[in-house]
Amino acid sequence: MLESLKLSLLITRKHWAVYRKSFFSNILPTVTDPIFYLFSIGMGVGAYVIELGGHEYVSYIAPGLIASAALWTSFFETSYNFYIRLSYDGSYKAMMTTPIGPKEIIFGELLWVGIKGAGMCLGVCLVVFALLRQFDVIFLFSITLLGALLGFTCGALGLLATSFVKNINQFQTIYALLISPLFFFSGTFFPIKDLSPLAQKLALLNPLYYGIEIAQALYWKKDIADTLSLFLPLLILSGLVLGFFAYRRIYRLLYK
Amino acid sequence: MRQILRAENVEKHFGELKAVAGVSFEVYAGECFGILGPNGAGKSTLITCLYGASARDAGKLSIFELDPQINGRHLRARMGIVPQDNCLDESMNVYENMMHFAAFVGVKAGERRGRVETLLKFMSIDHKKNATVKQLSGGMQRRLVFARALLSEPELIILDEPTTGLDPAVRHLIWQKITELKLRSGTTILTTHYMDEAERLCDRLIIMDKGKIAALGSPASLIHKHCPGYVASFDLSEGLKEKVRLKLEDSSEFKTLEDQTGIHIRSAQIEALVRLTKDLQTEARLIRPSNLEDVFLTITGKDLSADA
Repeated sequence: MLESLKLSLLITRKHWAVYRKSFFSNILPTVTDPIFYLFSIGMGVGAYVIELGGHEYVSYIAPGLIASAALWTSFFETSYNFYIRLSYDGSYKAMMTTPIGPKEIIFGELLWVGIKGAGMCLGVCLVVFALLRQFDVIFLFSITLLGALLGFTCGALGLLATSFVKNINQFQTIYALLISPLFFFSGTFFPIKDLSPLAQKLALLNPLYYGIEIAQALYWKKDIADTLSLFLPLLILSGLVLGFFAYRRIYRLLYK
Repeated sequence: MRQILRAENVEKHFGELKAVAGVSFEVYAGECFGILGPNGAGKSTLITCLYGASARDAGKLSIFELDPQINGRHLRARMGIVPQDNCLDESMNVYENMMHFAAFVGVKAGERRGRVETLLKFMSIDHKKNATVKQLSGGMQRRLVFARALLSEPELIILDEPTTGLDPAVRHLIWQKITELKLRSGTTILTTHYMDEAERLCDRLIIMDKGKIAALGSPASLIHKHCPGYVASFDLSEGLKEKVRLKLEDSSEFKTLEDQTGIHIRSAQIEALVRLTKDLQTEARLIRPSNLEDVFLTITGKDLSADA
């Protein structure tokens, strides 16, 4: 067990070493996308929305955009990047000639998207601090932890989706039919509670929605205890369930 | 001699296809054991079962008295594996590729640098230490993969087509290194479809065809058993074909075989072949001792280079 954990950490370290090589181009979209959303939708649409839930519109969408960074970074990692390592560049094949096995590869991957989720939420949060509100160390710390949890959960979802993919072009289908809806119906841009009862029920299947609810409560320091007691267990549970199925399916791809 | 590996009726299926269809053999300490066969014979599939990177569907496997399916991690820590594809990380340079691998195979942090330097020197690529993988030629990449496989100071080395696609100079260098490792009493298992490679390196070998073992033995014993003597090859022509047919129809002294490259006539005595070429009033393209390729042709009745 300890040996497995050590190997998973070494895999994560290698992912980081590769990532660091083109650090700037790697983090760019994850950080610039939320900025564009803040300026275009936040300020553009915000000019017509007097307030939402007692907040200026641009402030309304800020916490959701911070938390969504974990979805984007973990989806791209567990889809394209993972698939390339699996099917094209032989990274995993090479690892399987060492004591590393499928278990360590999958744990290493999930650990890595957890770290990326944390890092990206932290980065976008700093941007929001610079543009919108004053520095808040407690929020920064808690959103980073939430980012790790969201990165893990969305990464597990990404791996599960990847396990069904037959060629690299199919990721566009996943992006269009799974990842985009998760983002647009996550509560980032409008409150889910104002939607129809059916839409609200559907939103409850969206792990990003749990994370956004938590992020908003933390950002506005409102109903924190109530929100956490409902959505944190949901988020952890969905992470575990998605992780379980992702593990089983990816294991069979790595170890035929 | 100490037995290191034992395979009993190993099978591996891909759907309907039995890629490995019941294979049994043993490997002993210090020997170089070859697995030969055409593309698609099941060599690589068998190899991945040996180091526990894929699961067999039937049979028993024991290496160092451990089952790779259960103890893969511990077994791979004692093995050095050169996979068929190089699987190098193109975004990293030679040194970084080696250092990450050294960590994976459990080399202690303080010893990694030294071990990496030594092995790069051993494979004569230390001057390419800072080159990226993309900057390396095919031969250089293969040498790097060898150096990488040796990081674990392996007791058993597994080479899956170590020299496929390499030029003769690099092949010789790789052969020389394999021989050096053998002298250090390392045990080697190697797959190849080059008969000369197998003759040169392997103490014993199996010839696989359609997932099964078609023959087992040392190169010399296989040649001696299946096709002793010499082979004269002639360019293909209808006239010659007819002449050969008339002359050798009932001969027990000569064995005739025909393929796309020509007519090959084998005899136990080289003098008999020389006499025959005179009788046929044709020049032989080549007269040579019979080799493993002839063994394969005799056993399976097909050309080794043919894709299955």
